Amino acid sequence: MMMHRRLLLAAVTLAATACADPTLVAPPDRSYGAMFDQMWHETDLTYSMFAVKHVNWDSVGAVYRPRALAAQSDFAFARVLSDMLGSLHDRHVSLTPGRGAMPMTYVAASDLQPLDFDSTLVERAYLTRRLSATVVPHFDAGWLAPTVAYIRFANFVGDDWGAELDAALDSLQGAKQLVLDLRSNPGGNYELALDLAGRFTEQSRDFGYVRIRNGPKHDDLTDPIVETLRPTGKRKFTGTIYLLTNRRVFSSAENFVLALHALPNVITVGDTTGGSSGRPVTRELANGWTYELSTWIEYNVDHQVLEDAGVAPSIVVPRSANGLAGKHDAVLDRVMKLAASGG
Amino acid sequence: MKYAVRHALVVLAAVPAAALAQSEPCARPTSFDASLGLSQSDRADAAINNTQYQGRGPQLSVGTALNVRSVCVEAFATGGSHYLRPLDGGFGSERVLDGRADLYVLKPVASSANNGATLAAGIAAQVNVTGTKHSFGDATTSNYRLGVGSIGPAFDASYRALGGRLFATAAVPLLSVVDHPYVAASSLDPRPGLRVASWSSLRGVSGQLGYERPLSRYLTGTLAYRVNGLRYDDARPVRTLSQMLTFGFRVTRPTEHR
Repeated sequence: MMMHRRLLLAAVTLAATACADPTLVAPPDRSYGAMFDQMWHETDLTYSMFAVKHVNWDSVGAVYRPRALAAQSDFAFARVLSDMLGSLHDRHVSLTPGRGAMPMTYVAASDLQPLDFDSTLVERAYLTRRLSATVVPHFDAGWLAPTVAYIRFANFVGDDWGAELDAALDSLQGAKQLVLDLRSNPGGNYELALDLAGRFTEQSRDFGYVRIRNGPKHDDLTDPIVETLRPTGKRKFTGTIYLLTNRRVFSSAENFVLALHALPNVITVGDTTGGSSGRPVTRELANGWTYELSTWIEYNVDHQVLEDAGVAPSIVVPRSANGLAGKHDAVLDRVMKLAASGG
Repeated sequence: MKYAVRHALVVLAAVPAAALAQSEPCARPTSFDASLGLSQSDRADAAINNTQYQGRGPQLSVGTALNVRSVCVEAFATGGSHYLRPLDGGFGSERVLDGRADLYVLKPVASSANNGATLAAGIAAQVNVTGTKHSFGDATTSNYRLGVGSIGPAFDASYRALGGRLFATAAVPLLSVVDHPYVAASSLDPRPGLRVASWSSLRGVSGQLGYERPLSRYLTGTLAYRVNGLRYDDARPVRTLSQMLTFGFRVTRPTEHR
């Protein structure tokens, strides 16, 4: 009996010890000053393109810190933080001041120009036949002419669309030329974009490089990591591809363009892409607000930085050529002429 | 004995059990262990954010103890999955998957006349790999990882009491190799970025305190409290503490049992 009590005592002691609640870090400080310092410091440690953007982050912090301390409300404080992040001129940098709030994102002057692309015009005036949305729920596909197929990716938000694209290519088998319309595609999932792009090549090709931030100094970046387009999927289209782009093509959509741009059967038509590539990560403030920061620098195969430069098309159709009256699409008109001439 | 060594190497050992054998040079006879327990994981990784996350979950351990020419070899492996929530009103949540393997090579340095108390000292090699899927307050998710391999001094003590044996083991990492990606893990850069860490930048301790009691001639029941703590200081500091309470059994080979 005595032995059992001792055993019980030993077990209870061990169990009590195992439930100890340790404190590993100091409780979060939610004052405006502390949170400003936290964001400034994390950005200093994480952001990849200070040199590309020619930003002196110390100076930026010195300018905005007094404003943050003087903020009289969460809204005013969020405005200061957003303005500070805006000084990076990076579309992949944003602040979301609370769950469900609209992200406060940098907007470039070119983003405020009227759209030069109307997807409904393509549907109304150019597509002769469309594949059912039940076959291709994530993108549009159809025919522009008896031998010219059309696929439009409005974005790359999601994953695992490969089988869908295989089905579309299966339905478009008779096509000799394919128009891939990426205009105004803001991007999304990098892996998805490359998985889809792999349907348009039969061999692996390097198309760019990235360097990822990997240390506390602003120039602490990995050695260039090669980006490779690899064949994917059950169906392939290897005929002539006209890849349509404009200034509103960003992020993983630009990766898609960059990848296909390296293929000999691809002709890019339209305007230069937006020039925004950052591979953002999420960081969090002590009050739960989140913000995103770019973590890499992306280069084309010639080691030129993609950010702010974009991917220039092979055949330029400037936005001014595209009438906004809703009657014609100058880029598609040009492509249809090229297709008719076999160019 | 050769057969016993080969046989024992198949499985790594979990809760080392105290020696019952009078004539064994090591505290534990050649044996296999398996134990199941409840663990509590506390983590604060600045690569994710500056908040402490805590969660509990089941933990499974297996292991072995070997006596090789008066050298005591003990090894165990343990793993578990935890769902972690923030402390201090933080945000988000984490799903953590971790695994750990320890190898102790010990030499008996002291024992009482009847082997009622033993003390062994030596070195320990430890590997701990953790994968974290972090969900931020805005519902975005990112994956992070932390891998630490270290080597350092270790000791093992046991004392016969309460009809069984009380035991304690501890190890301290002196030299470590750390894989702690600076930002969220990227599919483009999956290779571990190994950095060497000495005591000045990585401090920790792992150990256990327990009690075991024979249940039959070849079967011993064990109860142990195990703790692993880590403090790693680089640009993204990490603090972790895992505590585990386990119940298990050790099976001693008939030829080894005395």
